[in-house]
Amino acid sequence: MMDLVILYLLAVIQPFIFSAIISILYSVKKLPGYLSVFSLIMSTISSAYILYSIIEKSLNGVLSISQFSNISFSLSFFVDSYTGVMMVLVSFLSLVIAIYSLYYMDGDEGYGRYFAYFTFFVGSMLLVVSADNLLLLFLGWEGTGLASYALIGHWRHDEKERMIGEEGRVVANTPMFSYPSVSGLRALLFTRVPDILMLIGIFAVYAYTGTFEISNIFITKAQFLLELARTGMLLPIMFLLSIGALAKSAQFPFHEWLVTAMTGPTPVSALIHAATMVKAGVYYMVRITPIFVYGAKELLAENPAIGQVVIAQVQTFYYGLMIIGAITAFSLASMALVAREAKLILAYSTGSQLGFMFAGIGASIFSSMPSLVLAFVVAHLIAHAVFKAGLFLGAGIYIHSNESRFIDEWADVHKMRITTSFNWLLVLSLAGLPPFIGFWTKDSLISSYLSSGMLIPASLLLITVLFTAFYSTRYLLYSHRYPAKEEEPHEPPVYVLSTYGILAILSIGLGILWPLFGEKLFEFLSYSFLEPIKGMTGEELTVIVSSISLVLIGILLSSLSYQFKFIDSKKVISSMPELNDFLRDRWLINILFYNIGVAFLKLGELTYRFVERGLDLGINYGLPKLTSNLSKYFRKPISGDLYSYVLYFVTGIIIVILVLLFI
Amino acid sequence: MVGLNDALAMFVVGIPIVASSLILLIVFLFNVKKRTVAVISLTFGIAELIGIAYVAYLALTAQYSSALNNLLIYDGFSTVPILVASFVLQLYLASLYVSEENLQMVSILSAAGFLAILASFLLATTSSIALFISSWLMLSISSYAAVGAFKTKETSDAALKYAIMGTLSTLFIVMWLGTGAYLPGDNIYSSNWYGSGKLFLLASAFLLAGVGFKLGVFPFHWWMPDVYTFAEGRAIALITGVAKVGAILGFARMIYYMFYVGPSEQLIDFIAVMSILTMTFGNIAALTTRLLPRILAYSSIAQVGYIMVGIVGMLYGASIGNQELVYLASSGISIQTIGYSLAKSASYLFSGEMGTAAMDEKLRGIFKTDSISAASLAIFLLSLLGLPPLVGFWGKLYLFESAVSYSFLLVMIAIINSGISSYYYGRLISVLFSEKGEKEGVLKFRITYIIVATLLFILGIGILQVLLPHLSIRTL
Repeated sequence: MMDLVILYLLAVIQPFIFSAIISILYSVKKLPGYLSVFSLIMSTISSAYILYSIIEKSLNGVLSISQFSNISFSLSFFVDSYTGVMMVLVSFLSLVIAIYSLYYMDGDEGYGRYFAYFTFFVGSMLLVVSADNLLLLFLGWEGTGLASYALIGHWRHDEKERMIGEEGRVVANTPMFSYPSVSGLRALLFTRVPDILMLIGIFAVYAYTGTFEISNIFITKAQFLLELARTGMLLPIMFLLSIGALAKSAQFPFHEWLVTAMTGPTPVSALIHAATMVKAGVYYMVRITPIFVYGAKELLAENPAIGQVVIAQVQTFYYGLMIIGAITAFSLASMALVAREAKLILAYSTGSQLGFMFAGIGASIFSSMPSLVLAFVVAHLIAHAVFKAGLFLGAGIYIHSNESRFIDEWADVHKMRITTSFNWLLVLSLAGLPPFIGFWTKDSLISSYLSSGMLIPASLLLITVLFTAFYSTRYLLYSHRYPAKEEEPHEPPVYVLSTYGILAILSIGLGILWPLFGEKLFEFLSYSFLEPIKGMTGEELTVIVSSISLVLIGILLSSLSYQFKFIDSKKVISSMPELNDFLRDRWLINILFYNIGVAFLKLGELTYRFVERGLDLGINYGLPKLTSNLSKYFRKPISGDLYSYVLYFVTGIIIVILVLLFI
Repeated sequence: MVGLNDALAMFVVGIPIVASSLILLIVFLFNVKKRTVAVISLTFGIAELIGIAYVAYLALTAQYSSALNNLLIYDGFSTVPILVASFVLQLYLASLYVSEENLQMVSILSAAGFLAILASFLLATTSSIALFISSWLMLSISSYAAVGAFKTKETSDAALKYAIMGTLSTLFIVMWLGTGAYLPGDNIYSSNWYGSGKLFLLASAFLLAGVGFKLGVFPFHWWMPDVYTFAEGRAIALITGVAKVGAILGFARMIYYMFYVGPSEQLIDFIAVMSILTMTFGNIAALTTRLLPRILAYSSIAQVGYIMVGIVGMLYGASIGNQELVYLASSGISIQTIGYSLAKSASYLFSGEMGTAAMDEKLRGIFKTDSISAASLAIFLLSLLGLPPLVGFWGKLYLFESAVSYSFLLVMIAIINSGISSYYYGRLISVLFSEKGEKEGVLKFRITYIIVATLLFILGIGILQVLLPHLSIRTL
């Protein structure tokens, strides 16, 4: 047990310490980067060893480091398959991205600052995926929020080439572009407001259960749901607990922050999209879902009358979650179809893939084996993390060598043979083509949508599969058809190539090996979700066929337009400009949020004018004046005149006696 | 048969009497050198300190003990602060010999000091009404002597005010006797004699007026800012550091035992209101004052207000039969008194060095010429403000904690008052550490300041916490 404590400290707490050290030594040339990489190596090794111990000793429990007797706050961590896998994933991907950052951020003005926040970010995320205590989890959760704010707004001088969107594009008085400093704030605001609701939810859970520890709530879940249902708080509490995750994972309509977050350095995008931040929401939802899903089932067995009601409510809620996931997946994929900016395409695809995961979480309630569906979600999360990190790292190289973030300003990327080969592996994984890993995990999810029997979300998601195949291949094929420059791009150094190289090889290698270990992974993960799975039924052939055919159609369409040049995509677009604009303007959701923001600013102005200025006057002028006068007034009787003193004294004693005797 | 406790009591009582008479005699009858007087008085002073230390030791080891047929009660509540007061007396005596050339003055001030510690000791420990009143008179007289010893126009004026107001207040103590306090016997807690509640309240009002005058309880405090401002700093150091300790402890003991005999909700409420008025008056009035000793005087009034919060807690504990609350409150009073005695007397010594009725501007830039003294004064002020880990913090903490169960509002007001006080303490400290200044050389009493500042710190980082269980008043 002691070993585990040290390992958890090394894996989770150590990055925070290194972050502090880096912020002290921020100005030493190159050192921050090396320190950060060193810290993440330690974290990765410790995480791997933790995972190894969990597999070896079949651990499935909680590690409590300290227990204060009179406050119900403890440093308790999960020791189970889910946390072990997530810790390895987060620390390993962050390490790869950190090595890439050594190259990418070299010579940057904020080099030390970047790595200090980077390490802090990873530590926070590791805290999220390992904490059993909800408050501890929330601490990490807010840490990721803070770090993302700093990193998205890293280039604080707001140079033109750092912005996102097309400069000057204004729709309905709403700018459709964003600068780093604004984007950082947006990320902070978009996640902070729901976070407050989430914190309220956490305290509400405490009020009902008397504990902050998820593992304890697992034990009393039926009782917890019963209490919630009796007080009519089931849906509100579920809403409060999930809203933070929805915002963090950029689900519709909160996806706006993720889009503008592309102003950060490209490795930061890789970090946010692959390993940290947006994955925190999915992680957390998967972590708490067993409480509701299995709690409702348990209650149904114990007390059918109230169990019926509870399960109906939980199903309603999760159906809503599935719809949100489906809308997110569909809407963002549709935006990706026409996007011009490389990072935007990837950002849309992240949101879209997260939509798939949320839809999966929503579908779990309708499955006969919810823990299996949750394991599918986690598998897709892993697969997506691997290929999306690689794609972003590759995009960074393209943007660097072409000095443009627009794919229609790139030279033919196929001239960079090595980089583009790797990127093809990653893109096909995203597209969901067999035998890439993306195919297997997406396929499992699709089967769970279909078996849930929910027609609307399932069909939306199926269309999205086609969209995904199209936009992902378009991403690399576009510059083949419309190359803008004719110069020879350069490959980056080998160690940089190797970062996304490893991820590309992983995405195909794991895919090929999937039939060997996929089921074992699901079984292993399901241990964390309260219902271990033993032996799975084979997948339905119809699902595989339909999903492969959708992917192939998508790839075919994109090849016809950009590879074989049968269809001129520019002509197609110009034939329906309204739709094109609608998609490019991100379904105009931004207008809503922008105007909410503007309304708040107006409100702020009003508050300033009528409240703040009054307070300012009152506090800085009125109050001192008042106290000063009061003080002088109080001292007035003390005039130095003995007669008056005697008078006051005697008056005083008379009043005292009168008060004491007659009141 | 004279027991150890009795012998010790006679020793502690005898030493100051012998010392004060001896010093006065040899100075006025023989032509002696200042050094001789210094040696005599410091020797007696140290003997007194040792005697009181031994009394405190007995009280702490046996929890409670008594002497002279229960005339004196030794408990940690009274003996430990008196021990600190007798230590302050040594510092006071030493400062006299360092700074004063006029030998007659030295002798008068020394004698006043000895009488003050004697009166304080008796007031703090006695439960006898007769002894209480006689010690009260002795305390008053020694205080007048100290204030009046200096012969400038301002100090004479201050001494006159002090004497007249003191006489007036002593009248009320006599009236307290008139309510029948003495009828069932000399011991304050001897039996239930307050037939009607009204009589008890009247008695409390008289006691409050009589003793409250000395403490500066609103509305009996009028004299205080004037006297503290215009009297000589060393005299006020003696009053605040030695005499007031006995007054506070004696008052707390008398009101507690009286209350124990005739509990009254009304009295608790009344003292709570008085404490709010007292501290609020003190703190608000101090805000705009620019005279250093006057700021300290107003802050003295506020400090008494805090102590009364503890008295409220103690009485409330007695009325609901919660002994723990009484222990906590009385320990709080004890600790606050210790902090008050040390910090206030040293601050007045400091203020006296700046001159009578010095402006706070005189502190400007002292840290550049005598940084240690400046830092020490800052520590005194911070202790009065109640900054951890200084003694003043612990005193306030326990005082306020004890009153929480009585009324949260009262404690909130007290805390807000502490907040207000940070303004004038903070301003003094900022003046002290400002850049510009025209002072030269180090201060005369810097050794004293260093000792007191160190004590305020060291007592606060563990010693008081260890002593805490032993500092409670003897309950009945």
